Amino acid sequence: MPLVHPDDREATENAMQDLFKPPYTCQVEQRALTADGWRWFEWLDSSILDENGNVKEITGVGRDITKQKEAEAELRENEKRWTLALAGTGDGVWDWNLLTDDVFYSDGWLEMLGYSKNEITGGYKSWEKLVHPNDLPNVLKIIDNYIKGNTDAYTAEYRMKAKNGKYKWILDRGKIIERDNKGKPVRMIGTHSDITVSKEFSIELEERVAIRTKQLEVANKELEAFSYSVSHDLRAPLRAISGFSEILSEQCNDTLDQESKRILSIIKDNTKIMDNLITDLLEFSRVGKAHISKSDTDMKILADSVYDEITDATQKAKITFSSDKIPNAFVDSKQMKQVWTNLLSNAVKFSAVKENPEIIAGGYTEDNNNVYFVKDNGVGYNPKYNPKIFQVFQRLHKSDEFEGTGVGLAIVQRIILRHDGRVWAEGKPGEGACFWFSLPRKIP
Amino acid sequence: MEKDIEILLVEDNPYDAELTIRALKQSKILNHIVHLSDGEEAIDYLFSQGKFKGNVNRNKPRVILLDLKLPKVSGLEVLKKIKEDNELRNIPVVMLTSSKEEKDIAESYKLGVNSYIVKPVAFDKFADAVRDLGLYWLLLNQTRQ
Repeated sequence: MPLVHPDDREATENAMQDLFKPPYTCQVEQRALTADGWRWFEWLDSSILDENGNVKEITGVGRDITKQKEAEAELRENEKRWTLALAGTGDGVWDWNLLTDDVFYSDGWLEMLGYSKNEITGGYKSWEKLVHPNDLPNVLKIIDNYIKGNTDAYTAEYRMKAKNGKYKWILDRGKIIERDNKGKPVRMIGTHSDITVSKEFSIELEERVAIRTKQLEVANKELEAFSYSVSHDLRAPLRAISGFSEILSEQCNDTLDQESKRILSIIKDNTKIMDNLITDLLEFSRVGKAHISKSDTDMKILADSVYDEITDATQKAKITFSSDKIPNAFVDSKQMKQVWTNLLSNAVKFSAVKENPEIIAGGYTEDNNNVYFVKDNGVGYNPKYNPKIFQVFQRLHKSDEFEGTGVGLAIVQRIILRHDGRVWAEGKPGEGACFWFSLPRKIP
Repeated sequence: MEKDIEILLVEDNPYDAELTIRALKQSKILNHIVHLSDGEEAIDYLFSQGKFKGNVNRNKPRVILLDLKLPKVSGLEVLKKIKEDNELRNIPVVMLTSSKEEKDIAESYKLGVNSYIVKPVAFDKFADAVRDLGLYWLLLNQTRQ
């Protein structure tokens, strides 16, 4: 006895009681001290009785079971770890034998849905019955695909009916862990996770996104209808004002005095301004909606042809215009023409007051961007207006100094932003201005 | 030829109509002009129905000047009806509109419009446009007959 581990002594003594009464045998597992330290032994003892039925002798066979004990302990540890992990996540386990159609459901599996063990019987069908009818066909397809080997893993999200009648969203993941010698699946094990909260949240989010999208679509439609109506209905009264004042000045040319003629011409000039405003405003809204179709565009040719178009012979003779080293761009060339038109028109307009107007169109490549600019030596502007200069209807000059609606640079900005580029400007009063835009280079 | 209607103007805005008629008058191409102010009237007139039911002979103007935006039945619908009709489809139709909406222009050409004028705000330009187109189509149509 002194060689027996103190913790095992009591059990050993208890077991040995059996040697003195029927069945006169005992089986005991105990640790004993050996030259190698404590080791596990299994003893099978039996008594030999004399003719009076008294124990005469005890024989025993012992074997070292230390390895087996260690393996069992590891297994228990493993199992404990998994049970804890599953309990921690709240997940449930199922184990399906495809040959016998026996399905084992873990306590966690049952708890998740609120059932007790005897309520879920009948193999695979017991699960199928609980799956939401709308989700079932899809889930069966996923399982089928996995079992046939079309997919590497079985993962499905579907609703299952809980005991309380409500549906829960389940994330089901499984794996075939055993196949017969022909490769046919025999056993599949998997887990259930309750994803109701996150699923309902994402469904709610999706619904909200759908509603917002709908609202935006409606707003967009309204805006479209609005600008359509602006272009048609707001022009009609202008035509009447302009047309009839024209008729008046023609028909009554002889009877009208100077002052009346001046007033009539103010009316006509202002209808023209109003018409330009409407045109530019429509252009601004159109630019925001227009489809962008990009192609490789020679920006130098574009800038040159625009300059040629917007200037007459007198202007060309007066202005020193230069353009070189302008890199090509991958852009919507129609919209880019608009950008050059607006920037160069501004440069022409604001440098006209100078004795020797000078306009430079240029560009260069910098990292992943191409940078372009239009620089003039015109009236310039106060840099404190930098934050405002690209805003729609923002004008930095009085209307009797320079014509304009304040939409041109806003259109430039809109086009460049829609090309994922950037715009900025530099200016000094009396010394000219430079307008820049950068565009991402085409990644080949 | 005695009482033939040469120009049908379908225009709901009375001032636009007056300016158009003035422009035609100025260019001395105004003989007989009928002015109707909505799309439904135009269809009734061309198909001898509704209040024009009594007409035994269908009205076949030489040119139709058609505003795009009309009450009740839009200009595009009127255009479609005209171009779908065997007897009317050869009459040149000039679409008058306030805007350069690409959608409208594309739709008009798809339906077979012969010309398209954006009514300019400046009257002199408007007069020029109306005169040129009116004259062009009147002459063209005469040579065709």
